[in-house]
Amino acid sequence: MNVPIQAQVLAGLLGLTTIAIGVYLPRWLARRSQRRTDPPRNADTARENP
Amino acid sequence: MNKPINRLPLPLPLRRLYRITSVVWTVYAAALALVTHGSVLLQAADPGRHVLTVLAGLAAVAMAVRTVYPGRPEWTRWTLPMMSGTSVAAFTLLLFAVDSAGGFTAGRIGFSLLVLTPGGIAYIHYLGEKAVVGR
Repeated sequence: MNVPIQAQVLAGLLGLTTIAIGVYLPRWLARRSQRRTDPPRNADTARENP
Repeated sequence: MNKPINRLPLPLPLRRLYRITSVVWTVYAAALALVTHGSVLLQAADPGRHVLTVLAGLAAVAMAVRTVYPGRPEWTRWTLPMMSGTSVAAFTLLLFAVDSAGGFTAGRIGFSLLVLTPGGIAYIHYLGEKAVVGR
């Protein structure tokens, strides 16, 4: 009746993944909303403002 | 000079709320540490459970500090993702331990889900603060 060390390592990795998602998901959401509020780039403005 | 938002003194009602929630979180974190230390099911999960006991104990100490100093939440904000990770890891360990202890019963399923709840709450709180409030 022993939990193998591989299972314990997997449990630890799941915990770390939870933390990583919690840290990076808000940043990704913020970048995504920033991209949506930025003015659209079109060919004319891209030529004038490279 | 404008202070950064996390350096502004918190208004009194918010400090009182933080003090109350800190007491709840101290109990929650201490409970998670006691479960990972003493649960009969997890006796089979050495040495992983000791790591989780230390992490949950750290969170309990940090929440006790926040009970005394509720006006400085930035000191202890790091405990939120740590509690969510510890809770998810403890839940996963419990699932493996239950599997090696003969299988699932209603009590074991309920106990495992109870161990997961601090993680769920901490996760929602942490994501909410970062994504909605922005700090």
